[in-house]
Amino acid sequence: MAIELGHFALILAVAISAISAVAGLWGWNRSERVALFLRQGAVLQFLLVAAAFAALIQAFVVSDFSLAIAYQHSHSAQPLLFKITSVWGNHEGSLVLWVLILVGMGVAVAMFGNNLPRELLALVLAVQSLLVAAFGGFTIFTSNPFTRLSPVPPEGMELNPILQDIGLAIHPPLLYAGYVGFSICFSFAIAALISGRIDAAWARWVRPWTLLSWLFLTLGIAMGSYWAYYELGWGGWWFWDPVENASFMPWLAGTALLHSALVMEKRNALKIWTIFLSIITFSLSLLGTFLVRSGVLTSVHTFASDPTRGLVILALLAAFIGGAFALFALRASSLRVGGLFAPISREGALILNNLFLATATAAVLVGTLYPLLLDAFTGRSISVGAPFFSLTFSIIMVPLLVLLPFGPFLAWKRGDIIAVTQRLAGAGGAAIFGAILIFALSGAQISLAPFGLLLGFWVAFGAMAELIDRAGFGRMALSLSFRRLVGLPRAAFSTAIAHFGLGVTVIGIVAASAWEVEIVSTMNPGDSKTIAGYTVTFDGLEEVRGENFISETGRFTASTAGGSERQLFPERRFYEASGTPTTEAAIETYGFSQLYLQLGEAAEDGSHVVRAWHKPYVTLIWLGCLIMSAAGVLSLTDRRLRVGAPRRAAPRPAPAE
Amino acid sequence: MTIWLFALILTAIACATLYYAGAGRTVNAGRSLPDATNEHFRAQLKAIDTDAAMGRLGAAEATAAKGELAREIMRFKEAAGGAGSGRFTVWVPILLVAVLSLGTYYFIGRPDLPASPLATAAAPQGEIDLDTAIAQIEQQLAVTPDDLRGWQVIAPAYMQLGRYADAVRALRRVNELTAPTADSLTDLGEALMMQRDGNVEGEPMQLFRDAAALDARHIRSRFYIAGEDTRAGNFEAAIGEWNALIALAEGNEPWLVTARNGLAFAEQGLTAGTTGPEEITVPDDAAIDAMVDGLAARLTAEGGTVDEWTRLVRSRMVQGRMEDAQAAYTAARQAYPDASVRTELDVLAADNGLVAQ
Repeated sequence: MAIELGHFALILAVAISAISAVAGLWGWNRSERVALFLRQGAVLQFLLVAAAFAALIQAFVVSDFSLAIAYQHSHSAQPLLFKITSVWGNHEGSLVLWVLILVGMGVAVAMFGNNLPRELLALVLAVQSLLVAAFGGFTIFTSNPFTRLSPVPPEGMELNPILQDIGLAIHPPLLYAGYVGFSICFSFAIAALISGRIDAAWARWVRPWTLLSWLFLTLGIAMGSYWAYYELGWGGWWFWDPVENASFMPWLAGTALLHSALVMEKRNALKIWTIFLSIITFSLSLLGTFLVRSGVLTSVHTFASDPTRGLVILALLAAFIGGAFALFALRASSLRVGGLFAPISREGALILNNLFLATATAAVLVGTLYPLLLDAFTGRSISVGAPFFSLTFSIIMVPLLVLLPFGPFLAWKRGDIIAVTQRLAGAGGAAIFGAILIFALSGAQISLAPFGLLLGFWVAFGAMAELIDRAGFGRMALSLSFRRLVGLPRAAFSTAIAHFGLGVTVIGIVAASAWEVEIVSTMNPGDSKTIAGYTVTFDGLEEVRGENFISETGRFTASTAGGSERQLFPERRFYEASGTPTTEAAIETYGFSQLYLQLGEAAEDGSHVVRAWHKPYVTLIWLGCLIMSAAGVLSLTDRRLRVGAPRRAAPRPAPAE
Repeated sequence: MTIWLFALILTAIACATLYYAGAGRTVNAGRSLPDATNEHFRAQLKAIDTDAAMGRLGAAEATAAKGELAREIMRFKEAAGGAGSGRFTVWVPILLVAVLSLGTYYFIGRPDLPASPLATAAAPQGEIDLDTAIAQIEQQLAVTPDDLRGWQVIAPAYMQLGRYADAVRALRRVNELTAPTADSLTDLGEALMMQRDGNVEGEPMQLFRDAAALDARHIRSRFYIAGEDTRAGNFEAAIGEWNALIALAEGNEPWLVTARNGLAFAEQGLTAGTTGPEEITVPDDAAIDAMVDGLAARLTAEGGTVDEWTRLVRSRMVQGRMEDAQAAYTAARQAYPDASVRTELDVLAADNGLVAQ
């Protein structure tokens, strides 16, 4: 009953969205009532899809295998958390999650958009409803999560054990929130193009939404990367896998959008470019969805490939992206360009940032799509691997990172590059010192790594230098500078912290890639091996029973020269319901570095292959992402972005009126 | 029926709120537009002053920026029009919403299926044997002889145990309780055929013909008809039937080989017309067994694709050799541990009571 009611709720939500889209696109400028109708529609869409999602969760929790996807992707012996996450651990359910977040974004616009001009509100909600209708319709008619089975199978087939991890509870919802959040920017862009006006509200709205989506996407990608790192069992944290690229491209474009929206919000410039980026970013999100959901790419993300679904998604993709760009081509010229500025200025620096990020996005796009297109048109199968991406990407990123610290120092409209360089000298010196220090501590050989480190420190210290300079440390009394620092706007802090986080990530990437040590050896209980100063002793094996698996757990002790000892328990698991084996790595964190241990199969003589890695400073990679996200949160709490929040007191009357 | 009631209530509530929003009063329509816009321009102006004060913006540039802002505001004032106050017939979209959602659900929903959470379902498989389960269902059916689902569940179990008379009784009940379908008629025909040691003349044949009449694309019943026509020497009718069957095939069905063989035999029989039907060898059960055994041997020895395994499991089930089907299914699962590639196989197995071992 609950399942069927959920099914009906989903259908009703999609029906409302379809009618809302038509009503909104037809009548956005005809009557004020249309906007009110659409706003109510958005609320209903959210409530109904949430109810449908709840019905799915309920069916999974009570193991109702008359629901086909519960039968195919769940098992009564799974722990409760994984029964719940199984809901989106499959194609159909993950689409419902996607649509749920989409309608969640729509209802947020409806609720907080009280002060939007009615025409704009109607158009934005209409475009948003169109997206819901398209993807909800796709869900219902090609990938219906509410398909029933009769007779009811006695037991389910279990979720893929690799996905039976806390990561599935966090990674997809975050990533989807990121992808789908950009739909709001997209809807605003389309609304601006249709109405031919960029309302003042546009600038106020697009930036917080970009920030929010970017924040979720950053966390989602970082989480996915860490999950792959500890679950796939060979310690890689980024594979330039097409599915990863699919999430990375919207991130790059979204980062560019974040910066261009800043210019637009503060200086009314770059309007058309921002609209263009909004469309690009969401298009790349859709492309990512297409690549992952269509089954074009085979990976752990591809739950079931079905050519019909692929074609339908491709058609939707073509319609939305093609339609958006056609509209852009037709209408962009009618929009007004904004403020003027000199090439060397804050605006100029942000344009440079956008150029580099756009180029990087294009490089990743080419590397991801080229093999697919080649395969589709000529049948030749090639693989564009990590070397291509590492080389191309770093060539584009290095100049961006070199120039990055200059940006926040430059004045708006016209800047003075020489003065800025002088102010950054201190940061440069500190960066050199830091790079040499780490290099010496790691005791590594001469390579390109120190330059990478230097770059990372340069970005990190350059970001901090901006704060120090603005607070006036060294130019005035310490207490005064301190007070000035505290009084700086949150935007200044969030910029500096985000750039600092990027520097931290760069340092982590360089250190972990350059100085990683790996040993592979056969070990018997009692054996010891030494890796990067740690002595790893194999103490023995034991069989442990989990809720739905049997695990062969190795007991290892890692001891350092300093005498500290820690226990590690890498596992080989066997999931009984599906008969699937998995490996669970054991990871110990020492400072920012990690010791990573993986237990291999037993040989004839009872010995085990053991792979051990020492990954210096590897946690900095994700730590940097967390810092960047924290900066995003900080920026979101800035008053000026709280749309509709009443102002405490207007500082002065607006003279321009 | 209750589900329809709830669906109607849900639709009515949704439509009512939409109607209220779209046609209701618009007095509490939020803050007026100019406020929001002014606030934005004030914020921008303040930002210019702050930047200028902190040295982020030169004095001349700040003046220029303010000028740009002023021009922007003036242009806005000219353009600000607000939404029109034209007519919006709100009941049209609302009616469409109701029709669209209820109609779609009518076509793709399954209001007939109840929820069946594991806790209330029968005890887990493996802990009770088939006989006990059948006894339980029989008891239940004695109390509620109109329980269609009970008869549907018990009939295949009877077949599996070789209790054909009981199977016939159960399947007759199924056909009484609900409108007969091609499947349910063919099931009954098969049970009768098994009860008569493979003889299809009379009632079974009539049932197959009824089934084929109900659904012209129903493979199983038409297969029996074609086979019987071939056996009885009605070659012209048989050729027509075999050809029709082959035309129904998509090309990779496991029964296609048998159908082609049957066609060849029938054609041979027709040309050899005078020699009489006795001399014609029809692809009998032994030939089919040999073919399926050959496939099984090859897959066991050399392995094969998931499709081939699926075909083997299906053939075993068609032969009625459920233990072999189970064995083939187990072997297939071992050969393809990745559940994502064997969805079709798993669904087939689950539908027919095979267990994942």
